[in-house]
Amino acid sequence: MTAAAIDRLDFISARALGRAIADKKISSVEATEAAIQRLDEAHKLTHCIIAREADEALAAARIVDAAIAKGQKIGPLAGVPLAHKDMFDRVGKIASWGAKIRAEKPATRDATVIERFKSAGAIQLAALHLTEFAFGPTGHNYVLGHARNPWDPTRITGGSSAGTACAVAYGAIPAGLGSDTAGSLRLPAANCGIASIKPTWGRVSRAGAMPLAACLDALGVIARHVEDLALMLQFLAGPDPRDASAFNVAVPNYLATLDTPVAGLRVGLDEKVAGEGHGDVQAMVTAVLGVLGKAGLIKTECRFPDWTLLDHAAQAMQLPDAAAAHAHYLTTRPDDYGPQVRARLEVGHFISGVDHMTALRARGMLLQRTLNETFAKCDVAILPITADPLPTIAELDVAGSPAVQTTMARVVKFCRPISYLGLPTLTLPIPRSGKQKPGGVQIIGRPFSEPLLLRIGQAYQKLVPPEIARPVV
Amino acid sequence: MPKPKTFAAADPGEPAAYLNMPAERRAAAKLHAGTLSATMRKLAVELPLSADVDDFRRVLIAEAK
Repeated sequence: MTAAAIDRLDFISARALGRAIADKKISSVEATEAAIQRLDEAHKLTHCIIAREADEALAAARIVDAAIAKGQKIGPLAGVPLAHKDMFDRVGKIASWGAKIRAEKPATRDATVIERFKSAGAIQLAALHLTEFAFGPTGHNYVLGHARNPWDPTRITGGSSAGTACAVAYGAIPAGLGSDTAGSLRLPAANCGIASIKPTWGRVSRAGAMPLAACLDALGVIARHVEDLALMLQFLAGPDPRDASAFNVAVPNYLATLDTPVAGLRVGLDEKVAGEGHGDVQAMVTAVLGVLGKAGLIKTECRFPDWTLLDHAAQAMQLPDAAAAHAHYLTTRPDDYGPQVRARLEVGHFISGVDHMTALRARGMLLQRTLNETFAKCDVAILPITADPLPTIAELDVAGSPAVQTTMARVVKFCRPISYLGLPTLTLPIPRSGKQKPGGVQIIGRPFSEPLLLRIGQAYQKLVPPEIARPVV
Repeated sequence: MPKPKTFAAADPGEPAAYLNMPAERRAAAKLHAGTLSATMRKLAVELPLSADVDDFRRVLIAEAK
């Protein structure tokens, strides 16, 4: 740690900031006050805050500073200011879910992921923007207002974890929580030019998190620094008595293997699938592959199962799942939904039980086929995240029009099939220059291969360091 | 408080007739569900009778070992 690094509080990683606070090079109160100021600036630009909690955060920071002064044992994130997507239960609070319809009573227990962040000593500055009920891949929210991209506020952020991505990209916070049902950790990270980890389905407990479609929902982290993804996954991952879907699978030491060499690893590209993206998006994949090649990775070919089939199976699972969760409110309070979420939830009521069950029953077979065939000759795969390069908010403002399904299908076309397969993905921002718009690609691994993905990400960031987002237009 | 907009009722025999939605959105939803259904019917052809929703978890766990 150097004084200069501490001067760049907008850029520093959570891991480094935690060390600096523990070493008394900066107090948690100082770090938190500075983060609140940056978060307010980010909000003016991007509309990233739903609930600002500065007073509570500063009170928590003072407690951490007092504990450090007394020499008490503290967690790895003690005093580090963070903020998260507003979809997690927190004691005494009602999460907005990005919606008008909310829980009737304040939560009596924290979500497991919030408990684990608190145990690590992290401070929460605010609850951040998400698309309504986390059901939207663009950052449009017709109830609370749309999120705006910090690189160009006329453009989308991607969703649904829009606020976390904006705040991290701007440098207000080093990292924050999000969720991903069909791209919600990947799309905003890519569009805002930062990193994210969507763990294997079932790797992180979902207890106390607002469900969208439980069969697909995965909680994860958005951060600028890959080392922060590793640090945070370390205490988020693992079984939880409150969530039977959280696997009782040993949690590896993600940080310990982060700097293990990656030379010789094979990264597979399915050119047929990637070729369905805009030419600029395909160029993003080529650019990232070029960097990975410099790190010693070897490009190979791979072939995913029928991509349209995977995407349709994902929809046949997701839409009735989400529609069932909202069935009561959609029939009793339909006008309390924004037009886009309402239109998308309605579709779930038209999908037959047989089709839903077919998608569920086929999932194991298609995952096994992917492992046997797609990953037969590669260690990881690479695909685009976005289908088109950073659209404007106006271009994708389809609200609840009959075009909503096809428009959203285009936005999530590279993400939703991977969610169906339950595979972990790492979002890496593209190497950007000058006024080039941000973008990102996904590195996809076998189940529970998060250590490998994080190693690749760490090697990548040695060649393409993280950036801070500021308007480039 | 504005009065909720009520759309023309769907034929009671229609799927999801209980939902208050405009005719063009209902038509689009039916079309979309039909597209997904066609794909699921193709998928069902290659799916063994023994396929189980828990197969997915079994494959994931096997991979962890």
